[in-house]
Amino acid sequence: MSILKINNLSVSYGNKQVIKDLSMNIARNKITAIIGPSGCGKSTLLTSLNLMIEENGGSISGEILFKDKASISYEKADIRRMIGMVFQTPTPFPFSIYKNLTYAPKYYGIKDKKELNRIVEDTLKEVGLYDEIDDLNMLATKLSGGQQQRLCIGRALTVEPEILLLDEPCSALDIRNTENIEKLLLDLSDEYTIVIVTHNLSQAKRISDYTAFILDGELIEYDTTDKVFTNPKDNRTREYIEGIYG
Amino acid sequence: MNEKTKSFLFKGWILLSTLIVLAIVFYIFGYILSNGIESINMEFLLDGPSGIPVGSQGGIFPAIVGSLLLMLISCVFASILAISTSIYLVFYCESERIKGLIHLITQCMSGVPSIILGLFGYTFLVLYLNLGRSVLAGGLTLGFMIYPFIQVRVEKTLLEVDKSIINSSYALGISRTYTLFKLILPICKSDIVSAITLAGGFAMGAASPIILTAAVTFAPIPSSLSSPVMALPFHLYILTGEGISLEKAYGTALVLILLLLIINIISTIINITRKEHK
Repeated sequence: MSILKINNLSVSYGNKQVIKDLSMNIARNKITAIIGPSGCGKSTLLTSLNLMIEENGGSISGEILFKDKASISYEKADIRRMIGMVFQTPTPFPFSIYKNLTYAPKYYGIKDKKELNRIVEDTLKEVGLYDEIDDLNMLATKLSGGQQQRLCIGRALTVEPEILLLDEPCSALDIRNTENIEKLLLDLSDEYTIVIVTHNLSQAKRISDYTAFILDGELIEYDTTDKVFTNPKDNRTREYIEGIYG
Repeated sequence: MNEKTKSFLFKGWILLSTLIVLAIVFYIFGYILSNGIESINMEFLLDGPSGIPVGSQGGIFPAIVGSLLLMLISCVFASILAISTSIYLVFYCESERIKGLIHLITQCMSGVPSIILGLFGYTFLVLYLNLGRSVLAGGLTLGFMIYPFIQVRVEKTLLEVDKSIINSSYALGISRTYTLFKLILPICKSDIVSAITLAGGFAMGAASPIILTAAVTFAPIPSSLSSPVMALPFHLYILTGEGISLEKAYGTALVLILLLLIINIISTIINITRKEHK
């Protein structure tokens, strides 16, 4: 079942059209990978899904249906709460770990100290940081890069989203941390729908259920990961997977 | 001339410049210290001026309090305006033309000579708004003077906050206002406080904006915002200008310099602790 339906989406920055008439459906509680060469519009597509594109000065035409209702008919804040996002480089707030995780819940009106403590504890367990952290009052910026990224994933989970968008979340991390995050994403996909942009083909192969290949803002191929990687229909997909494009 | 001699001469020149500036600073401070230290005692620090003419005897306590009050009022007034302007410019203003206009006005304000600001304060605040020669009128005039100083620094600090951190707050569905108060301002807090403290020191040392708006030769500690005050720089000016007591003038200068030094040290400490936090 699809949680997101994208119909004839076009995105442009000023006169420059970055996404061209793209349609695809995102399946619930699955991991969907978006692959393609640098500058093909992967990240733009991702930021269109939670309307963050507007903060960067892009404009959207076409239709994005979230749970069969046009995403623009929701409050922008509601869409962003339900569709969480994790950025390429870890962006912990320069506060304590505890404050990073209570920042959003406090905004949404949770004042009770016990409830906040529960959220922090559950989230840390969920992203596998619980056993790695001794002091919740430690500055989040003092964590290692991989821990910071998991904290950011956790922070996105504190508002109980349904979809999690990740924009090349491992590109700043080493192999071990990448492995940790991939394992985490696999665990999370039981509960959340995950859309991940990656330039790492083996990563897409390892964790995703569906893969979309985008070239110059157009959706070239979209199918189960297995099919895209073993038996691509389009020649351009085959060439990309075999490493012809950069 | 070969490269080696050039670089030697250049190094010599920058070293010499540094030494000359340091020497001048130490000479000024040493000179004031050696001339002023004798007049400093508990009576000088904690009593009002006395004698005939006033100031030839007694102390400068009302002037110390007056200067601190003027600094406080100017800092509160200027920082509220400056922080609001900066927030507007960085987060809300979308028209480049308005941004340019506000920057132009701020630059012009910082270029206005302080005695002219004093004159403006006198005609507008003292006479037109009928505030009278008072600690409030003087504080506000000083506020006009330090406003551009604070505004420029606060704007720079706000612009330095990592855009991706701000975006991750928006991506949680969180409003601009909450992001501003709970994320951006806390991140910038120590930089802003340090800018305000520095500006406060600047205001405290200025004499010309308060000559016409606040300062008088003799007044007790002000009982309300509408009372006139004594202030250290003005007191210093009167003591030397009217030839009342050079000895007391040096004492006053020393107290003023020490206060400014303390303010600058506080600002530096705030900055250092911030760097350690990062």
